[in-house]
Amino acid sequence: MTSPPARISFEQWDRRYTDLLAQGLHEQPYGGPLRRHLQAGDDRLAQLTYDNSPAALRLWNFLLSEEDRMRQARAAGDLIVGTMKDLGTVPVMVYAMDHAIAFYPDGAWWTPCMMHASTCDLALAAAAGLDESFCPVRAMAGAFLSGRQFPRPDLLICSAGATCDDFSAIAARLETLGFGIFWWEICARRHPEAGEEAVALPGGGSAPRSQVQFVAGELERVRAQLEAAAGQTLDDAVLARGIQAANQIRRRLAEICGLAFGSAICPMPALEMLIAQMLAIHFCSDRAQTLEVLTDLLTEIRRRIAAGQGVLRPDAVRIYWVNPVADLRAMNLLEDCGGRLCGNDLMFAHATEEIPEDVPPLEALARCALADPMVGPAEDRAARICREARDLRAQAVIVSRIAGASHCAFEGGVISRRVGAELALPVLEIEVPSVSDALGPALRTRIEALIETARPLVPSPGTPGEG
Amino acid sequence: MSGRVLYSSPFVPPEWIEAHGQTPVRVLSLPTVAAAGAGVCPIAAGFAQAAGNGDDTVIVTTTCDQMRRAGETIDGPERVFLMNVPSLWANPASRELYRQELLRLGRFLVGRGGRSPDPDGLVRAMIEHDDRRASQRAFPPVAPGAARIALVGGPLRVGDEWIIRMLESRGACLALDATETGQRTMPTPFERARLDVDPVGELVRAYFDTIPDAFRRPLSMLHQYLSVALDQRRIQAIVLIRGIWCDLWHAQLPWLRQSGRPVAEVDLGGSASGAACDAARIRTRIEALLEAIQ
Repeated sequence: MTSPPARISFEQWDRRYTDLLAQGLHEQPYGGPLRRHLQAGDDRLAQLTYDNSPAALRLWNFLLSEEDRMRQARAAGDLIVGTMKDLGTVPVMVYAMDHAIAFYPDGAWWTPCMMHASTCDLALAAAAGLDESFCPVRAMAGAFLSGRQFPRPDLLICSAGATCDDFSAIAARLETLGFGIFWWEICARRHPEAGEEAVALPGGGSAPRSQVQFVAGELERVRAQLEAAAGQTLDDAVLARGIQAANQIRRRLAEICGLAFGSAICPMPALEMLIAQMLAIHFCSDRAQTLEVLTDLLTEIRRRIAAGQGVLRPDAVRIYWVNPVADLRAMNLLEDCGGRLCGNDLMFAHATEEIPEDVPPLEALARCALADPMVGPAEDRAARICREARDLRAQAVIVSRIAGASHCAFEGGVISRRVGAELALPVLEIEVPSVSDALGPALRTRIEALIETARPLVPSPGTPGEG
Repeated sequence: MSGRVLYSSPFVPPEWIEAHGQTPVRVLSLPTVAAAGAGVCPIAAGFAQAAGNGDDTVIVTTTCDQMRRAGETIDGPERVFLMNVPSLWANPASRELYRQELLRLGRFLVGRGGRSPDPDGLVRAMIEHDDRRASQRAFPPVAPGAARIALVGGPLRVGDEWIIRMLESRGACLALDATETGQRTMPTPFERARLDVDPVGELVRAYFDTIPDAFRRPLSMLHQYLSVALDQRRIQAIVLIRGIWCDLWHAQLPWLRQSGRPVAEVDLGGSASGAACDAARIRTRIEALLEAIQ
């Protein structure tokens, strides 16, 4: 089953899958050929380029079968909690309980890409007053209204306060349409003032003790809500076990990112890395399987590094990418243009950092929530991006704006200016719509120009790393 | 330091600033913003531009995402105070956070050359502002037969009063100003008996507990206010006014339409080069609305 690593097309995966089966591929119940997801409506799959490993196949199958797991959970009578806006905090609490799963309705923002705008629920969103001027996450409203993409959750929890206006407006609109929401407040993170007690946050930085206490208090309200909905006790001991399990996944992901971004060769394509990182937010409705899927991926990455086999040319230009893309195809395009992902900030860095285990659980989760790059100053986020880009030896930075997202307008400029001033790296700001085909030539030209600019004139002797 | 404190949000109590020996100046956004980038809210950018690069103190609030982030673009970060105005109006912890933010603002003002407020001075300032607001609460008389219009939405900018004059020149009248710069955001009158007991608590009650807005959660507070106000003022049609990228107010459009009244939505545009086009577009939309009801 060990073929040389390669990026292959959707069509090529058909043949590859047949070969893997012949070689004795063992799959999970959610396994199978990628083509069945296309037939189920995820038509963007046909235009993507994939890693050819069984680990990547499992990753994709796990991601694309979440809806099945949610319907199974509903049939089994498990509690289904939709956790909105908060990325990576409340899901940890939900999964600490028995017979409860969390999912991330915001993730529906990829449906216009995966299912193409013509066939997804955008029309329903527009009919509800959420037209195309909103961020693509408005697809979430359509998904709720149609009920086609996920079962109606038993409980919806959404953070408010220091959040994107577009998302907050959409969530509030849903509430007026009859989808009850339990709101909790996340305050805008600020720097501790002189004489004020500071608390260290995961991933660096700090917040005033008073803010940590405030958010912990809010999470206490969330805990009470979850206990009432589940009919279970979610005490500190149970929460601590949930945090340990989440940290196991976050450590695994950190190993993957460390190797994939740090190695001299590129052992895993950007698209699969993006999907792997997404799993850490809410575990894709199965925490145990998330760990196994990531473990498989890590094993494959290690194997490739040991063999000195990458999926890209060795001289691919190292790009640090800011923000998730509404069109997954953009990750392929980066590599098609001669780039290589060497790090990213997908707006949820806090959801991939280890949660402190040496403080009371709710305080630990509060610290994690306050470490969210989106609730603090854009300068803080820019500083972190600079630090990572430098550590990961990025040769250029792409800031990918999200159409209609309230945070992008000012933040992109802050990040670009800081990267330019501090690292003297070329920076490209682009906007990637949900289906970028019409803009494909322009995007390609701009990314190619960036990569030409960033590529050293003299071939680099190689960068240090595990490879 | 100039002693002037610039702010825009109605959740910043001017009497609190005055009690610290500083001069509160509510600043409306400038109408056009040169070189505002794609997606940049003209109201947030216009406020940052109006804040200038002098030594005035500037208060920015978290009431909208773009305004929060615009604060980082103002020259002289040491003079900018970002005030957390919580979203959850019915949550006691959020209410307490607002109170704590008022106190933190007070310390910031002292650090900017202000003075700690003495209780008498604070109460005096509160009464003065309360009295001044009382005269502004009264609705202007409505000419018989005039179409009764409500403006609902975000803030008007410097010079946007032409919209009101235009309404009046077309035989309509502004019977309710529920924009951010209008009657909607006026704090409820202070309970005078409570001023001597807990003046800061009374600020919290008057401002945090009663001002409805599109950023507050749940939205029932805003919708309850609008339901009552639209009926009481016998509103015939609504003009929803918002900054071009303002999702918070744009998302109120379907609810307003459900009120059964005709609604015209106008965005205020924002590019310096397109100001004339923006005005023509706004005028046409409002004229169409008036034709529909007259």
